[in-house]
Amino acid sequence: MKVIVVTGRSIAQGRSKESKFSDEYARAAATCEVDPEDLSTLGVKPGQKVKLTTSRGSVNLFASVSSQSPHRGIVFIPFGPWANSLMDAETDGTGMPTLKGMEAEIEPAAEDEVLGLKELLAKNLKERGRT
Amino acid sequence: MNVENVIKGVVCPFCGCCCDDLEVTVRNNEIAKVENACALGRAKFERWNEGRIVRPSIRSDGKILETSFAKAVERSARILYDARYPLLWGWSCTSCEAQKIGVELAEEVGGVIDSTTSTCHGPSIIAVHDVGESSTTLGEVRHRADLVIYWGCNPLHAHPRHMSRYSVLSEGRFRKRRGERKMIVVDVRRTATAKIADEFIKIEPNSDYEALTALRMCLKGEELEQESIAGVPSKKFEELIDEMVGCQFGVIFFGLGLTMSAGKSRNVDAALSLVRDLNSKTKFVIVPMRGHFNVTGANEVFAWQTGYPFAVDLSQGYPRYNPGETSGVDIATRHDCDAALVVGSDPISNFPLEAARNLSSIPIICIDPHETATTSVSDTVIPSAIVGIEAEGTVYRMDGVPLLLRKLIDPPEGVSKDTEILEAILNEVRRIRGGR
Amino acid sequence: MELLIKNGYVVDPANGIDCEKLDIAVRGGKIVEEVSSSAKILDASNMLVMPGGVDIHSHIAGSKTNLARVLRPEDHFRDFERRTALTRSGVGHSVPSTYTTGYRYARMGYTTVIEPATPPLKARHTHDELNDTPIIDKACFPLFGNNWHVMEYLKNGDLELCAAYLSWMLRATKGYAIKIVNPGGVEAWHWGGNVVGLDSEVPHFGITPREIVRGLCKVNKMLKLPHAIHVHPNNLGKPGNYLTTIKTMECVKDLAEGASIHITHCQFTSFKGEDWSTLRSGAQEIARYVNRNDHVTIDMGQIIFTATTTMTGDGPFEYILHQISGRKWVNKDVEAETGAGVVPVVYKRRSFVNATQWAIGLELALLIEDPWKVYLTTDHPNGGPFTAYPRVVSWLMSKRARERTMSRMNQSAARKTILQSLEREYSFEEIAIVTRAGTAKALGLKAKGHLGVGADADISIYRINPKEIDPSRDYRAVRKALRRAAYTVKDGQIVVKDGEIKEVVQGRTFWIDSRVPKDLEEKIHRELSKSFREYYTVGMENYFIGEGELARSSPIYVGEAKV
Repeated sequence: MKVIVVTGRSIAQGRSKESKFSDEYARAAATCEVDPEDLSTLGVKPGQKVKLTTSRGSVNLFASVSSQSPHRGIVFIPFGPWANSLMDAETDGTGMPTLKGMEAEIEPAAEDEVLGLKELLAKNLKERGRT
Repeated sequence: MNVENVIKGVVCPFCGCCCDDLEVTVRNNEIAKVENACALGRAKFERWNEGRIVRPSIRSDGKILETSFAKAVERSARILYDARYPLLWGWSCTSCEAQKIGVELAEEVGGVIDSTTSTCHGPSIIAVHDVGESSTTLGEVRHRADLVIYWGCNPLHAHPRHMSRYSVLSEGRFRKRRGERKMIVVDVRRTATAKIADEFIKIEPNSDYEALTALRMCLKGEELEQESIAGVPSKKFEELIDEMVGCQFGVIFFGLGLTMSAGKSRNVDAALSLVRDLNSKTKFVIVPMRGHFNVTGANEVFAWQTGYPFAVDLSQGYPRYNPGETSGVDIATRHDCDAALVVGSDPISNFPLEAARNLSSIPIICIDPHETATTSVSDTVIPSAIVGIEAEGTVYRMDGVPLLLRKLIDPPEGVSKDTEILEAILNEVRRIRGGR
Repeated sequence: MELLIKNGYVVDPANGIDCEKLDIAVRGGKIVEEVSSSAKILDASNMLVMPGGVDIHSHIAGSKTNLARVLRPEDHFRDFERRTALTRSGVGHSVPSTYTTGYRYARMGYTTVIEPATPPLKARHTHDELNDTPIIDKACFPLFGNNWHVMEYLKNGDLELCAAYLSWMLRATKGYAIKIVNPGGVEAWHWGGNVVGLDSEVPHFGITPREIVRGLCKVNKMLKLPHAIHVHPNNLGKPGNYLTTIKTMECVKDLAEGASIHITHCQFTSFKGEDWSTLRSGAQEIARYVNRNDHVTIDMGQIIFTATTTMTGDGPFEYILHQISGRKWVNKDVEAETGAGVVPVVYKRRSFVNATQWAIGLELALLIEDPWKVYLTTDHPNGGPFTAYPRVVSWLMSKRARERTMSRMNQSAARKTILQSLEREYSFEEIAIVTRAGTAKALGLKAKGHLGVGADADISIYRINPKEIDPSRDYRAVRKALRRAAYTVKDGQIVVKDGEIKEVVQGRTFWIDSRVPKDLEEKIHRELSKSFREYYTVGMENYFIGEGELARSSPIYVGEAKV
């Protein structure tokens, strides 16, 4: 399903961001909030996994039913390295990368794994980077 | 011995609200209790000791080795001194005193100093260069505002006490009760904040510029030709403008919804222009919702010391400024920097992947109290005291009001303040250079 | 460290010395009678020796200055300074960064500068910036003319409590004097309005600007503050406003024992006429008043034909300027107290209005007979950058220089000004008065502005021979010499040589350690503790600035208030 990805703050992400390697942070940031109707169309239940893909990359996340709906066609992902696996570094000459409003595909990913922070970093940074 | 001390009037070091009425109970050099804080501030205080780094470390042959403060400082200084174009990033979660040393260090090593402003309200500042800004300190909103619009921000999640301290849920001299004010939320989703608003206007993603322009047109008496704009019926813009013109004191609080989506600085330009134009009819102000507790301080310090508020390039021996060229994400994306000093920030988590990836391939010196994605890939890590809990310092609230953070408890044994660490690195760089 | 400045032509008006060849002896940062033979000798032969410059009004530090820096990156691009072994890099033509500000003042031989408009809630910001402004000594003036507590106390006739409040505020903000900007008008602006004169009523507060000015003048006397109330009157920038200025000066005349009011950047408030097309100079009327009354001092607020930046606490005025000029506009109101606005401006020779303004500033200085009553300022950066002071000096000292500038400006304005007919040319002694001796005296800075024994050893030495040069003819040489001091001495140390920084020192920040009787102090503390958070969004304990926050605190105790 085509959606628009918006990243931003959430209380849970804010509360746990000083403990980046904690389970709590992973639960907060490796999730996406999906409109209930969209979830239903996708055939995904809350807590199940989905895969988000943009032109810049893809990432597996836990889907949660959004408490801030309606926002059909919009998926909200809290700030963090999972969200940033998808977002565009292009700043359009402003210094600000495009962290809201990217076009994406969302699909069920029940059999796939949502990576913990260590694994995510290992995967994301291995090309030209370091682990 | 159980010595307990209740410290009042504590300034919270989390978000740009910088609430200064926290009451913190300290017992045996630990935070025992905190009152008056929101969930975010409470988490910062109560969980201050989680995931702490307590020893400096150096990466050697792919292994992380604990080391001494002196050796870590030496290595950091050498990395920065040798670098052609180092990036000094972060700064929003530390004190102004530390930020000042950062500028001096950037000047000494000929690097670029940039704060998380770049990925927060940098676009807002860019718009201010063109338009200016009709603004105020938060108390004026509390005292006078009868129309409060939250546009592209969700204070209940990011600035939880904002409404009760500064806007619709607060008591002001001229607005005693909630009923004397109207609250409107404009957003792409029906956020927690939207739910408690008097009115919620849902707009389509990436269409804030059109929506704000529609409002400007209505203000100037133009007729909107389309039936709906940004997913909102055109009639709604006419109604909204009438309300804005008809209020006694209006305010737009805006957030990353404007700065991060398509249009970026142009979105803010439209909002600033709208508020400016409204002043010909009534009193209207606009205030950006700054995320971190001292990102505003970083803007202030950089601006008075170098003339420029962020993305300051000192590699030529004098300050240069060109967001898009001299800003952190761009420098990382272009792989221009060959070393980085990161202070109190986690760009490996917060930069888009391409930029994070490039950053992780160069030597990073990271100064932070906690383990982060960035510390996990850094060459050198030096633990620091938490400003506002274990170290004092000056901060600037989102509206530019300067406050003092206190030291409430001692940091863990062997952990230094940001200012001490940065000063040591600066001195070591000078020593390598052969003295001044 | 001992220093002996030999053979210079000393101009020290406060001690009656006018171009006499004298030696100046320095020890321990002070001027002394004599020094030993091991003193360092500074040969000032054929050079002009004056006390270091004392600038009574220059917007160099704080919230609105920084708003202006951020607003105007374009102001910085074309004017920057590289770092050197001794100096930090910086920028700025009309809104320089802090290091650049300090260096540029020192290079001109200035050693003390007042930041004249500090919002108390943000005074910490002002001090942060002043701490980072090298070499010069400084002080700041907190704003009180639209302060809620002040208006309430005065409305209720609680003069004692008002004095106690001011006393607390001066200590809380580490301020030096009582500054008043558009009294009552900025509170009205917080609703989008303004006041139109001394007898307008401030909405919701039931008080008039007249009552605010008089009340604060009385409090000033009670607190025995060394400087008079420093006032930016209502109606600044409005044609016809000279009448308001005269009324403002008059309204505290009966309270006078010595100076009771200082009108700042008087040029902007000396307009005659009904509108811009009929704008005329009201300088004659203002000067007449100042000549006849000893309770008033003013500073010029001279404009320079250049691009610069306006910034004042007069929020409504800045909005009007934005509307007239269409230039970008920053406004920042400050809760329960004051506000500020910033708008870029260009003063053009060809503009009738600007040319008239140019003439007004000079007319004021030339028509006011006693140079101890009028001081040289450009209200930096409102009229022009402080680096243009040497140019203003040349206009004061040389009719020829004035004529040259007038010949290239709007001729209709040139014809209408009486400037052509003014023959007066300032002497070096008079220049020293309007840039050092007079300002230091008005400020009550006893160790500044003169070279007598006991003064701070702040000395400027310029490469011109006052005995040989004819400033009227060779005004360019005067300008050139004043731009780059041969030597600037700060607290006995040579900080500048031939216009280059030789040493960087940390200047002092002066503030008034004001005291009231104990019971009054306790009363105001109790009152404020109860209500502080009702007025402000910060607590009293966080509002107060500690002495340790000043890099080099220099409190001045003036004795307990007379309540």
